[in-house]
Amino acid sequence: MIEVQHPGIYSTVQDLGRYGYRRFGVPLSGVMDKEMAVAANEILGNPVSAAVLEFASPGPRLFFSKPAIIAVSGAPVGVRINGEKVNTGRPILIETNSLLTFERASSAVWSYLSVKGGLLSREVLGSRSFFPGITKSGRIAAGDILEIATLSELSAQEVAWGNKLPEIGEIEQVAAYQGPEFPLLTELQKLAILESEFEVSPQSNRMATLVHSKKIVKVPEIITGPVQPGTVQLTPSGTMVVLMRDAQTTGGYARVLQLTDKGFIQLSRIQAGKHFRFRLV
Amino acid sequence: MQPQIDKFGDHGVLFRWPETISKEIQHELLSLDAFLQKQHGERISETVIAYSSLAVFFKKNLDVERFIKDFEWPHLGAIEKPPDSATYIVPVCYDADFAIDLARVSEHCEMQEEEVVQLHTSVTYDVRFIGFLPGFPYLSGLDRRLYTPRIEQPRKLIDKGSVGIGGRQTGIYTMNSPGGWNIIGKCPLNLFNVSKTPPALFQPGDKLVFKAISMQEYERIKRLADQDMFEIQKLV
Repeated sequence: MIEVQHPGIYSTVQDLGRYGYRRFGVPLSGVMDKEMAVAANEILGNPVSAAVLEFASPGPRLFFSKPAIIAVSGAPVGVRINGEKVNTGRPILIETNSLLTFERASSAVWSYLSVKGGLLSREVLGSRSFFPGITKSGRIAAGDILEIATLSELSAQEVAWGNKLPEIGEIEQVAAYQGPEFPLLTELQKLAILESEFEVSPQSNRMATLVHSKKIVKVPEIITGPVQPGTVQLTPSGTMVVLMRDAQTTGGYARVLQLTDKGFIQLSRIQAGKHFRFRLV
Repeated sequence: MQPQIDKFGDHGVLFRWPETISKEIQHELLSLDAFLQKQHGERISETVIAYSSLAVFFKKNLDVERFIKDFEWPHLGAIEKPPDSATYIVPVCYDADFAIDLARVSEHCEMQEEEVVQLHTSVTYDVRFIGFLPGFPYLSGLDRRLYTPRIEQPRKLIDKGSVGIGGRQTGIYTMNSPGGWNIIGKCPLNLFNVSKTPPALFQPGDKLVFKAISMQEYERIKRLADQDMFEIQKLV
């Protein structure tokens, strides 16, 4: 098992999400950067839906009281075992009674720690993804125990030791479709959204990414309708709110764009303060 | 009325009726939802209902554009009306200890606090859909004399069970949450429970009435509800 000595910030257990309960108001949840989380599972020979630890920098401090094989993907963080820096990019063997720590990410936002066999936190409504009010806790905390599978010779053979984990490149564009209310915008408003450069606000989290541009577009609210991760909402004040994995299932702001799956992953990788443009597909 | 159908992200479609809150639209929407589950259930991951629109999310390998092109409209008017739901009795304690904004509502609506409670408990509400929080029912039917704007600075924490009025809407917070509605009472029931199937107490199409209860009654029901021993009553 893994003992959480320090939780870091925004560290949660996530799988691919809680499908089938959105009509009851339950957010989808699941990993923000599916590509990176899946890569970390695949290299270990885990099912793609195995639960991983998602974290932003600074990352958590974790004590392994039994051996494990791990992969660390996503926002590039230096990995230390008992203080010694180890190579990332490939699976890492952790011995009994080892302390795992992370350095700050040099770029991007979300990092993933996958463990051979997956994290075995309790499944609630078909998913292990943390969400306050659904799972027992919303984030990991100091003293928490994360259960993991016991390593065997057989399971260790499933690990692709020689493979390399993918890296994240620079993101300048975020791919999006027209949203349900896009046709209601004036031509000038459409231009302002599609031609402007947007900045990611530090007030962003797993529920929503706030983005700002110099050109402010204002539109009225709508009657509450369905929304989903990747829905780009325009509030009456002109702030753009892009819904992320823990977003509500319905909302009353104009849905001007809808990110593609790829666009969602692109946006999840942009750090606060960085700029991007939307690219209509 | 045939709703508009559009692609909604890589795996979804959105059916939209005109933006109004009407019983006819709700009936058509629930009928279409039932039709889709029956005819296309194996291709659908889940659906989300709102006032006048229905989102359908498909399993990952479905070509959404193709689905829209090939979609054969059912004759919605011909679909049998779903049977009338029972009317659930939802106990609410409007005691001053819980009703932190009752004075504000009574002042805004220019009536006595007792009249606010009387009006709030005198109508039958329709559950339109579940959203905002897990299990949170969006209700229609609030008496227009009780319309009260949301509080300007939303509170960081509203207790689970709090009953509020926000603009033209009324509802029950199903879990602790930030919120901007005027709190006028508290309900001892658990409206969302992950160990129940389905996890939400109310479904779109259900009806409910609020019944004023004393603090003693609130505590009695709360004790039972927390042990999952309280059976919600229905109007007969």
